[in-house]
Amino acid sequence: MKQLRFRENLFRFRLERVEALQLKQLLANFPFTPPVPARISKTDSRDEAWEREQLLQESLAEHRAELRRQARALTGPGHLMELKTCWRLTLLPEERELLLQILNDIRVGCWQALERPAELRVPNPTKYPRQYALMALLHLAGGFEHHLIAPPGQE
Amino acid sequence: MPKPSEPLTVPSPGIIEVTRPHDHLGPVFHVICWNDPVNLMVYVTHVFRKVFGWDEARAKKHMMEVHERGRSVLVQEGPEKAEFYVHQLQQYRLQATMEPAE
Repeated sequence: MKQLRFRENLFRFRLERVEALQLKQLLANFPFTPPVPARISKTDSRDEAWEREQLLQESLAEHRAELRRQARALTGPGHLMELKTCWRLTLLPEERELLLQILNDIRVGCWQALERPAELRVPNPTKYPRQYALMALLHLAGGFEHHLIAPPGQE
Repeated sequence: MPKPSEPLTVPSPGIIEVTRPHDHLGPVFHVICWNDPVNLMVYVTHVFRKVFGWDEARAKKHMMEVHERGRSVLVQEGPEKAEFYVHQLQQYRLQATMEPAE
């Protein structure tokens, strides 16, 4: 995957067939992991902080529901198109941000499901199939993030 | 009572004039981003640029601070704005909190 250009307020990316299918699968199955309680503060234990934390939880839950709705739309025909030799992904700047948030939700969610390891090594798939699947998803989402942020021409 | 844009102290010779935005008359909070091994450095830099409107150099400086020191104080704000930034950063799944500035 690589960014072709940013013109007329649109990002355009070129994807190999296998990348397009991987991205479709990622987005079709989002979210992969349950939501994790978020914290607003590490040191503030006052009542206001507790209220703020409740608001944060609600806001993030709503946002995740919206990401789930958007995930389906972002691989629709208006965005992801098959060409003769490759696929093309076309996104508005705000859609690129949504896609980045979806991919990073997958990445961070997998990391949390793996019990937040300090190192992101891929485990033996035969011995640890569940951990292997989560780590593979984590790296796949990270790879797409990298390509979405990289400037035009860089793979 | 001064207007929001006016300084809180009267200028006088030899005294450093301290000004505070109206929003900061109440409690002040540090918006902090904490290090983790999962968020990509390029992604963290991108998020700082988007959320705060910073240039690449400033965003990278804070990202490196998170990476090397374990945390970076991104901004100092009143409660509402600090809360807004924490929401924005957490929507991108960065480990961000607001801590009272002592």
